[in-house]
Amino acid sequence: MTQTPLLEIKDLHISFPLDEGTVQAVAGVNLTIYPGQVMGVVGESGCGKSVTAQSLLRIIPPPGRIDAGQILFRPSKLFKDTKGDGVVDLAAFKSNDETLRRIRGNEIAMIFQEPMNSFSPVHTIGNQLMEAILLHQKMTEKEARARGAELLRLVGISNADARMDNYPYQFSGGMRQRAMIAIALSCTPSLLVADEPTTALDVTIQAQILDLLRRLQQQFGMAIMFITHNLGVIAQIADHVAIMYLGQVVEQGPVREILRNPKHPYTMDLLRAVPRLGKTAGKRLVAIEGGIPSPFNRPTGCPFHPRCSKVIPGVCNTHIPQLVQLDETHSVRCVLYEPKVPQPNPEPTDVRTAPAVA
Amino acid sequence: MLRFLLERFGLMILMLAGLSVIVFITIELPPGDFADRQAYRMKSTGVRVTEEDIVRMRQQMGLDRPWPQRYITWIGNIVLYGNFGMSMSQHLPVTQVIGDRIGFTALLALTALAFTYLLAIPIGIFSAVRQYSIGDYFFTFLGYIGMATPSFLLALVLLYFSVMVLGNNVGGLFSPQYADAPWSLEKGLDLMNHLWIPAIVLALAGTAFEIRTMRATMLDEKNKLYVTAARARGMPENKLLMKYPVRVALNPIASTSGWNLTAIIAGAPLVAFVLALPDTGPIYLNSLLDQDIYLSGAMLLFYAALTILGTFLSDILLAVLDPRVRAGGQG
Repeated sequence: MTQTPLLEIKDLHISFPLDEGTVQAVAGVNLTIYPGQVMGVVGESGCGKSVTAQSLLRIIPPPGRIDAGQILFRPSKLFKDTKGDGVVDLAAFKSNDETLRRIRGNEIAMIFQEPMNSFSPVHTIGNQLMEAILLHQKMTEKEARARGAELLRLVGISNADARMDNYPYQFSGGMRQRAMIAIALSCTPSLLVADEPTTALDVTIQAQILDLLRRLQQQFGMAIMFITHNLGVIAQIADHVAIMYLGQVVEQGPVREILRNPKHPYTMDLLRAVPRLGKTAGKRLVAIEGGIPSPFNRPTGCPFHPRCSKVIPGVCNTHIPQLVQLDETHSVRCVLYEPKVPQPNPEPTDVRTAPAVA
Repeated sequence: MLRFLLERFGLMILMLAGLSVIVFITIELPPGDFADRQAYRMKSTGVRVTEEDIVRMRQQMGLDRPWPQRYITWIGNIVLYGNFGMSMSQHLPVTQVIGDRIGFTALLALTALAFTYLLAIPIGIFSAVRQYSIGDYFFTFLGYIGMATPSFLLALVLLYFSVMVLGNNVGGLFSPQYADAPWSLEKGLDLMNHLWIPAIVLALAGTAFEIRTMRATMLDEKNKLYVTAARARGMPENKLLMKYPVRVALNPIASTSGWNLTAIIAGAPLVAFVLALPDTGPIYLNSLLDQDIYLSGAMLLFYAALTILGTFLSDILLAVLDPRVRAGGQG
């Protein structure tokens, strides 16, 4: 691709130092998003996808911290006046930095998993929507109000003028998520981070919200980082998909390629676990063996090897697989595709199966 | 909103009516009556008192009628004529006995209430924002001491401090030279100089409690998703704090402000007694001991009415703060 990337995450490491030990939530994520691209990020709970999303706006909940890596972002408005070739490293800012604050909501906006809790219960929807507008745009209150109502209409809320004065408890879950999208779009950001925006909604509403996002994405031309654990949703909305496991991207590529021709054993297992109309009827769904390992005790070698059906003993538990570029867009992190297969280690040092050393 | 107000107001009137009955029964409860007390007192000074004398005294004061009948007369006079009856021990109308002093009681309660919130809200916010900092530990420590110290003890300690260190005179609300002087700026300042001790004493427990409440709610609120969402749209940190978590954390403070007033009023007589304040406290205690029922009844009714009024005001405050309360719990 010759296009300039909008966002480049390079070798990102995020950890949470807790009393019980340190949790390595993100362990070397690499991810590139181009302008206007919809990047789906998929993985089980606890694989670090939400934390990665939060790190873009530097809103990781305490005590989480970025240990290493870069988040290179190319703002479209911030340096318009100064003519600088603006690439900023979001990971390098202090979390209360003024430039970062001007990127939040303005260049990168975010919508969250729980629309029920995303609004302050004691302020009107209009108040919170106008706040987002006035934070980044020079406008009078009156203009902001008109713009707010226009945005509400855009996301499909009828009677928008009157709805501006409603409180969140007067909105249903689906309507709140629409209002949240209106807030996110208020400053026409170049990147929208959607952290499981449909998970808390029921299925018919899910479909409406996805349609809305897809339509608005085409209308505004923004890129979306769409986080979900639902491969069905990814198929509907994403161009590209990144599969995450235990804080790493294990496979990424165009969505059709990944769904039809998965390479990583984890991706294959994930796809087998998705129910399909007609094909899996009457059969048991295949579950992936085992559960996600304790976050305090990451497996050595490839993090997926204890659950992997194609595990090579002596290799997978000692060798950390490298990222292999299969073609221009499809890459995978698995020893099966490495050109030079490492020799099995004669003495496996699997910390989980090895007897405890006294 | 108007409907909410009318509902609450109606409820307040009903509660006041019910309360007046309870007040009357309460002061009737102790065995004996003012006639017995009077006879006992006369006997102890050597006067011979016969049974007939006591019965006659009772008749004179109307104490021989059954209590529901006396209650009707009492409350009727209060509602219709603002007449609270006669103080039997002082042979004066109750309104005249309490009149001058009730203003001081109200002033004291309001000052204590103001102290409570002016201190508790900022400290609570600070403690939550700088959780586990030295300042937080300091105020937490102070808060626990505040909650655990009996108010009369603190009153004595502060009194000692005021007299020995600041050189003020002991107790009362005025220095001797101002006590009977007409109102002037100096007299006002002198009053303030005396008022802070009882105000702090009365406010302390409430302040300590409200700091804990404010801190706890702030800690809950500041990590909620809607705060993160506002941060994610570029809200500066200080504005964010004041607009969202602080605003929401004020709700429990507002809704308990009525109780706080109750606690202050309930504590006031004892503190006033220790500090020899010329407010209603000492009269109240004496009237209870003497079974001077109309005097103590009027004061008990006054304290109770203040409490109910406080609850009513805190309800209004809460409705102003929280739209869900205004809507009457629908939705």
